[in-house]
Amino acid sequence: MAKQKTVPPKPPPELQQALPSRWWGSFEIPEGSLRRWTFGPLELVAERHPGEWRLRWKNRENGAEEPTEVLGGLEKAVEVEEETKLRVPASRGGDLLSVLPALADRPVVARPEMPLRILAGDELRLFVSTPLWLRVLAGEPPGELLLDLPIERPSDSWFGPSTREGELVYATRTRAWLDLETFEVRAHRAITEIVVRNLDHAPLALERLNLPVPHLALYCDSQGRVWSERVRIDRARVGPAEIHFDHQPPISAGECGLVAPARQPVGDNVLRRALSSLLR
Amino acid sequence: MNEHWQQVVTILTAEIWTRLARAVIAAVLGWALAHLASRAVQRFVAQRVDRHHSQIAGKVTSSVLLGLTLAVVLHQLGIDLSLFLGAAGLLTVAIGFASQTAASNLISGLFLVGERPFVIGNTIRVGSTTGEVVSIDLLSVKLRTADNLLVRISNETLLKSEIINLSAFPIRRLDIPIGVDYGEDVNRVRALLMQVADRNPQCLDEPGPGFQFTGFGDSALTMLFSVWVASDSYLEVRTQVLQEIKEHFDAAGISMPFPQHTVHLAEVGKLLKSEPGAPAQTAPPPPPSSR
Repeated sequence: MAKQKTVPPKPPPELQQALPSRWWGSFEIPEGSLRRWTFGPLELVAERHPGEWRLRWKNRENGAEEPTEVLGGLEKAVEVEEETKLRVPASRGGDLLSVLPALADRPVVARPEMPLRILAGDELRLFVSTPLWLRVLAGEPPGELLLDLPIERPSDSWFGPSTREGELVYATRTRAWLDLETFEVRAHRAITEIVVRNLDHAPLALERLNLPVPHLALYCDSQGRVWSERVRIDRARVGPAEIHFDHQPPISAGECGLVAPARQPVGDNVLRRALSSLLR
Repeated sequence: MNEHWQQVVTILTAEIWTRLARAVIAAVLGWALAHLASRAVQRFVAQRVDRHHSQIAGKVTSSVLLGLTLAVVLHQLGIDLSLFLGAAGLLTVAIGFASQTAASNLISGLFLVGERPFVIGNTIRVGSTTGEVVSIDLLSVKLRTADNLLVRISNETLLKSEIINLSAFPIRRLDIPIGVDYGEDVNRVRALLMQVADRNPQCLDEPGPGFQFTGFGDSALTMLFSVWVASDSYLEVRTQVLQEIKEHFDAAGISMPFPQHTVHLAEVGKLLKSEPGAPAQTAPPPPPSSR
């Protein structure tokens, strides 16, 4: 397959930092009021009561295609105790609540709808989307973590050579877009650019790809799209495969700002693993 | 007066007190050394192997050092240890007969340690007992059952028994036998079951769910539905999936029959035997049959 040339989108001239998406950031919620969010299939309500925060959330049926947005402004807090799922004593942080996206807490296996084949000596660039998590923090940044849950709970899965060896992961079905222009972006999913280089003599069949998502940082571009850092996987002729982390926003995303660091930072920018633990 | 005082001094400086003092010091030092050495060995082994081996290593170290301490104390007291050696032969035979079971358990324990069919923290099933392994000792293994009972199983029993380790691997398959009415469409049932697995995020995407049509039972079409789950959440997912199957079947109007028998009654006329020339007699017709 021919190499894909990267054409980054033109950033607006006045851009100094990534524009915050309207669905995340820090929000003032005075005592006695609440704020409601809808993140695709997930609805979250945060209430400020005297001396405590009360959070409740629920999954909406058929909400996966709904937009992600903040519904309205502040509302009066109500006593609906039976629905409250989390009560946290408010610390010295006052009325500030931060709602931030994060990547998954386990690796995510991306399975292209149609298998791909990378010829010997060739490389393939593709874009996949992975589900985002929601982190709620109270107080001045960095804040105290109150909640960390998936916006859309992905299915559990297993990735490994057998049912004895491997690891628990999340599964996501993806079209594995080769062209960013046609990529269908959804607000509650992050885009990852992956480059797979086949340095071996034999073709490489790509049916499943185990993305080390907890090791990736999260960025936001000027259009409000959420990106992880780029990942490059080199299939070597001998020895384990190498995963390269850029530790910076992908070029395809253009101008970006950091939204969240990696859950499990990797000191080196290269990891070596058996190919069977990365690709199948 | 001087004579009495000299007698007291003689008694106080008798060798016996010296020996006793040395024996006490040896005992105290020996006990302290055994305790410290046991803890040090446990820490060392735990860092390199695991908690299970460290407990055993600690106990062995402690036993050996306490045995040596006892020998030193007896020697300090002036007791001739060769006396013990002399009787050791007879004692060995007596102890051997008396401790066959203990020795067998001890040796079985060593084999279990080497083979490692389970470690502390695993959930195992031995016969009809299922529990979490809380300790692996020299003579036995102790399990804590789900209803918080302590079960002691000797190592010899374990070595001879089939041990099922329910938490050896991170994932497990959940098999659910299902029976549906003979009038149901198998493909429709299969599609519904796959929907149940697809909608439950705790059912693994891979390995994927499985479906087998296993046979024609007495009362129902028998099938086997399998899903893979994380071992830690096996019980929780089993309850969820069973409930979801029931709900889906109810919503789709699919019945799961209980064992039943169908009885067909037919009218039978019976010709009774009679005297020559007498008219033939027939039994009265039976009451209307019911099915």
